[in-house]
Amino acid sequence: MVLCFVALFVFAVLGIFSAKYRALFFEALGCVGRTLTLRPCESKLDERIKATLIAHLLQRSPPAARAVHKHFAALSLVFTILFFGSMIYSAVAVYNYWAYGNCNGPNSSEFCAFDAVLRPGAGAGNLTAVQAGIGPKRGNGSIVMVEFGCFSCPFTRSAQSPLNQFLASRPDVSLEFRAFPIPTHENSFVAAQAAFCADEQGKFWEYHDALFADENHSRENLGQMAARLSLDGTRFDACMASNSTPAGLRVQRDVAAGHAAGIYGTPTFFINGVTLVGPQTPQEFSDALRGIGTSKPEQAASCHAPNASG
Amino acid sequence: MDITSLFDAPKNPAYFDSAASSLTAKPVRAKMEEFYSQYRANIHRGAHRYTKKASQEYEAVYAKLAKFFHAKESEFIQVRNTTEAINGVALGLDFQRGDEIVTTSIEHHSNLLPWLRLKEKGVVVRILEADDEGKLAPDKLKALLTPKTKLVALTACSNVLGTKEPLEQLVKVSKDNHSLVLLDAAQQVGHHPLDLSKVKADYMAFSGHKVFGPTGIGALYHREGAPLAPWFVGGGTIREASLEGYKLLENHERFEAGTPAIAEWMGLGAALDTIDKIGYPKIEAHEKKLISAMFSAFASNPKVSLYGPKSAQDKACALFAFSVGRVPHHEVAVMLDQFGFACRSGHHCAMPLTKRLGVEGTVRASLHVYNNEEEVRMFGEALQKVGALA
Ligand SMILES: Cc1ncc(COP(=O)(O)O)c(C=O)c1O
Repeated sequence: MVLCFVALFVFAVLGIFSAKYRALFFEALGCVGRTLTLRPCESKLDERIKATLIAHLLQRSPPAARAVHKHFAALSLVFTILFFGSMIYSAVAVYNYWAYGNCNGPNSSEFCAFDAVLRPGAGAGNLTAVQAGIGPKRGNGSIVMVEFGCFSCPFTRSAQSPLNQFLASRPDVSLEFRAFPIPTHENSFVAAQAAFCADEQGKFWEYHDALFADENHSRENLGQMAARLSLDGTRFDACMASNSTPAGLRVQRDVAAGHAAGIYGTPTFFINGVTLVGPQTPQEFSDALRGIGTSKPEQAASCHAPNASG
Repeated sequence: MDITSLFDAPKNPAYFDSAASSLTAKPVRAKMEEFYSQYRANIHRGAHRYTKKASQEYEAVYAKLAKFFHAKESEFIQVRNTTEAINGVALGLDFQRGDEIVTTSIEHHSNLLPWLRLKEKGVVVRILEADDEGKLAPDKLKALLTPKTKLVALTACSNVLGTKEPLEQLVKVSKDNHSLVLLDAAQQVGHHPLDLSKVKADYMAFSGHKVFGPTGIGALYHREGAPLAPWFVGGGTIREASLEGYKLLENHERFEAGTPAIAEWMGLGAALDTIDKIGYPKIEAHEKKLISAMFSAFASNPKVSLYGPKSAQDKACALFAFSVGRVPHHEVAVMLDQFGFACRSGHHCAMPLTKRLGVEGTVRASLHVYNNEEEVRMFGEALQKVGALA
């Protein structure tokens, strides 16, 4: 009987796409109606679902089929609880999205599935390619991959190792970095500014690697990182004096360019016409390079920008 | 004669539900199409050549019926199905308070409810109990008969058990008692010949859709001289009518009020032709093979309980009701459908019998000439799989 409730929701969704499921939806509706009024479900929909399921199982594993058959009532109860649990979870996510612009709650910047669907202009399919030749470049390869990254984003950080592996295997590819600090991450803006300050002294990539190696991006630690790389401290401090120094303005321009391109999470990579969001394996980078990869807007792990272009 | 070429038998799932309704033979469909495309007109109306041709083809079906059942043309009445035919007899006989009707414990509701309804009129309904395998005993019937037994209504073959019945003796015992006899031949005509010059029933009903014919058509045989009043009157039934009254026609026409099912009637004729073309001996021989193959499939599966006859020679047709352990019948049918077999599940419109079997319902596999032994072998395998649940 409980199965009818689940069937009702599942078929309601599937029914949007197919008339066959629409008919099943109405059957489930009748069944739910009868169940709610404590009458037996006439359509035998639940029996049909059960028997079809068990028939499929019988083809694969008779013992499993036997077990499911025997404990079906208990299993369907568990399934129903899980189903309603996930419904509630989704409802909370929808509320969060409405209230905070993020489905994971007020203080999260993790990837939210609704972004790709609900935010106008979001999703890799809507990302417009960005112009190369603006940010610092690593390597001499003629094929340029542009990365929009945030030094304080755990996903941008974890993307580095496979990215470096890929770059090491492909000397014909060079990497261009654009800053896209996620505002909800502490110190993300100053970290990006510090990297550009290091660039002014010719040590962008060294500083870039140091930022990913050390999570502490307090102003004090940023200075110590600069000292460790033997940067001129006075010049560095002057460069960091406000967010409108040339390095600070560079960060702001990158962020604006990122928004214009429709970026909603970091890291986002543009390579050979393909857009990738979130950490990738070396193989995925290679596939993208060969043009056989597909843009991946729903990359589960990326840092989400709350005020992305929507 | 290649039987399979006469049908569009589906392969997956294979059709194992012929007792509910057989497949329609291709010549039947062709005959109806011929009528619609070449001489579509009402019958017995006017002088144009379409109505003439249509009337000719239509009337020819009565002749076919007469030849087929060894009876007279005028003894057949067009009906929609077996159910209508039996209700017609219940309405068309003049039952009085105290009259007795004997029917059996293995009847389809269609040959039970019309008699139970007559209880309202004070008619007594007695039940002839079949044995555990569904067999009806003539001497037991004899013991139930009294001088007041107006009618004995029995099935020629149960649609749940498929038991072969001693028809001739059952009818003879009843006739010796001067009772009228109605045979529900719905499950008989598609499988075995019925010679009404030997089985002297007064009424016999069958449906087209179970004998390779169209749906919505059937025939009621009504022996000349046996009482029966029309249950409907109207257009087509009268010799003359005035504002004071009317005079009915003599023969079957007085029972057939209104424009009949012309195409379906012709289709029914083509269905009987198809049976003739294949030949009953061939149908019986083929079914015999299917029956023994089914018995072996069931015998090798200890999880299956089979209802009705336990040996092939007691089966009238390849029709098997069974259950698999305690797995609900409806679920077994859904699983068999998944495994490629369209079987029916439920009480098969014979609730009293199902209750007597001690179950809520059964699964029924019913086969016909277009099924084959390979299907039965695979059916056995599918049953083994379902048996794993029991
Ligand atoms: C023995 C028997 N009698 C009567 C009927 C009723 O036939 P119909 O539905 O064509 O009226 C059936 C059909 O299942 C049957 O099997």
